[in-house]
Amino acid sequence: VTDTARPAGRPGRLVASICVLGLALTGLAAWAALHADRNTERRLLETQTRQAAAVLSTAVLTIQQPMVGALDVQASAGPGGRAEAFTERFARNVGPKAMFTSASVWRRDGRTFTRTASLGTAPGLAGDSAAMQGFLRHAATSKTSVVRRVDVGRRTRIAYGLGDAETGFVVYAERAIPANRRAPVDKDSAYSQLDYAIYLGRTTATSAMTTTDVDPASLPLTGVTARESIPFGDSVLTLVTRPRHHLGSALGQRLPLILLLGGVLLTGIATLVGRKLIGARDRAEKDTATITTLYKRVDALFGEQRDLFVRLQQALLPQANPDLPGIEIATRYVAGGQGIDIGGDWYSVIGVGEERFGFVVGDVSGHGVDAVAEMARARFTLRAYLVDGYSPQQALEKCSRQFDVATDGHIITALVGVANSRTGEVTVANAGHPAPLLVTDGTPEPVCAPAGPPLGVGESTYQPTSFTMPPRSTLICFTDGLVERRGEDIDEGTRRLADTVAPVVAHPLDEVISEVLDAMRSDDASDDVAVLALRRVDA
Amino acid sequence: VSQFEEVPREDGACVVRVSGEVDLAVAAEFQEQVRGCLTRSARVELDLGGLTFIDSSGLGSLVLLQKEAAQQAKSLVLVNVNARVSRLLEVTGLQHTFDIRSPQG
Repeated sequence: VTDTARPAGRPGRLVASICVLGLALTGLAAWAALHADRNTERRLLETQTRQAAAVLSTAVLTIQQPMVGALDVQASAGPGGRAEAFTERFARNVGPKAMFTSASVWRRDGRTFTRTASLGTAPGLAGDSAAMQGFLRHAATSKTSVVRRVDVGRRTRIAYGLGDAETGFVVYAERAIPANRRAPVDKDSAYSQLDYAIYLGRTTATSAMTTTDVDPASLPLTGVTARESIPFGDSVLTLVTRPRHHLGSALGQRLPLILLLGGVLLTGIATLVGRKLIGARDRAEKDTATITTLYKRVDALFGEQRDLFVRLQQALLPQANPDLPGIEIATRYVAGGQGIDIGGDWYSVIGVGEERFGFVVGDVSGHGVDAVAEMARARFTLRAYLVDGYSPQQALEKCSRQFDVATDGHIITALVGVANSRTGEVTVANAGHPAPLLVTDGTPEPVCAPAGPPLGVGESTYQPTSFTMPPRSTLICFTDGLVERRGEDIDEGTRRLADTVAPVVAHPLDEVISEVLDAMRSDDASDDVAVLALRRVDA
Repeated sequence: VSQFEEVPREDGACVVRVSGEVDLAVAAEFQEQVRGCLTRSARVELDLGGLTFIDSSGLGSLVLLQKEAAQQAKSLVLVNVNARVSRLLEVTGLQHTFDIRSPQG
């Protein structure tokens, strides 16, 4: 069993590989989804920020529009301007709830600017201050409006100046920024999904911040932000935004997590299933190995048993045939080709006196070790009678009284002969055995030896048959395993044997037996065979 | 391949129709079947019409059953013995061991 067992670490490594691969794929998929979502977010943020910047540009125009109108009115009125026209027409733009908290018109008067009209609260910058005069000068010479921050106490205002270099008029206005500089956004506005901070100028220092929707203390905006610059007079407004929440689809946001959790779950399942399958396969392999080993053992045991039986059989057969002048002897026993079913076939040649010898070929019905034991009993009993000088029929008759199928479980067929090695005279008696074949001058002929009952049937009598073997003739005695074939008449088998023997009978006797066995028996023949051949030769 | 079919007859005899091969592999089963008939009937007929092959173990079984029947003073008869089996019985010296008859003879 152990030789086919797998190294213990291998299934573990396989399961670990499945786990690692699953987690790696999961991580990769989640990362890709996250990356895609971030790109989408950034693109959406940039788009929305551009829209917000466009809205802001419009707001800037809205602020400048009335100032441009007011400047035109003053310019067209001539060098003195029209103070009442300004206060009349600009009044709706000034007030606590209007666009500006303070507005005024200034006219250059040599090096300084003099106020000709004013609306609303006092300007954050004093009229004669250097700061105000500088700002107005700057506005008068600038081609665009000018913008600056004005701190009034704790409050901050944005000051706008728009001047006309030709006429020397400057329109000045201040716009208040809420105390906390916070302005909540409308739900439907371009800012609805954004946190934002608007700075005056290109800096994003909190001091330069004019408007935001978050707590100014938390500025600057961190994380994913976008930035746009909007021209604002001679300066710019810098818009910094941050998405207030996920801008894209909810699925896009959750996909990485879904992939991560799903992947981990699937990996876990795959790992468990893998472990189970590998465990099952290992068990199956072990079972198969065990079964194979058992089969091999059983096979080996059968083989050993069969070898043992064959050795027993061989041990019970004559170890050597007697040396007889004028007679060549060849014998052979072949066990059945399959299994442990050895049979009870035997042969025997016994010297009896100077020129006489006995021979027996027999067959115990059935197979197995008890058939072999019965064979030994029959062989030695017959041998004893022949050695004592009894004739073949006498030996069989005596034996017939000692064997009974009812107690032994077998019947025994036997051909018993006694011959003279000098003269070739032969006498045989037959207990239900196939008749031998006598080959004279190359022509095989069955010896007519009428059969009496097999041993085991009961007390019987037997007829002797006598004949003479001519010189160089061959007598072949055999058991039915050589000729018996299912679905064939017994005489057909005998004829096939005769046809097989005829062309080879001149060969050495041992070779004749080999050739006949080769031709007559298939490899898987189940029955065993004993063959005994006698040939008269020159003494 | 082998079949031993028991056919009861009105006169009390038991007929066993033997078909196929009777060899070492089925000898014990064959003996049991016929032995059963012998305990129930005084006359058992073995119809060998369908017998295609019989080996020495099969012949041994027939001899054994014949002896058992004789011991119980019952009769075991072989009927429908075809030429092949008849020749086999002759070659093996068993032609006088059995009561061989034509059917219902």
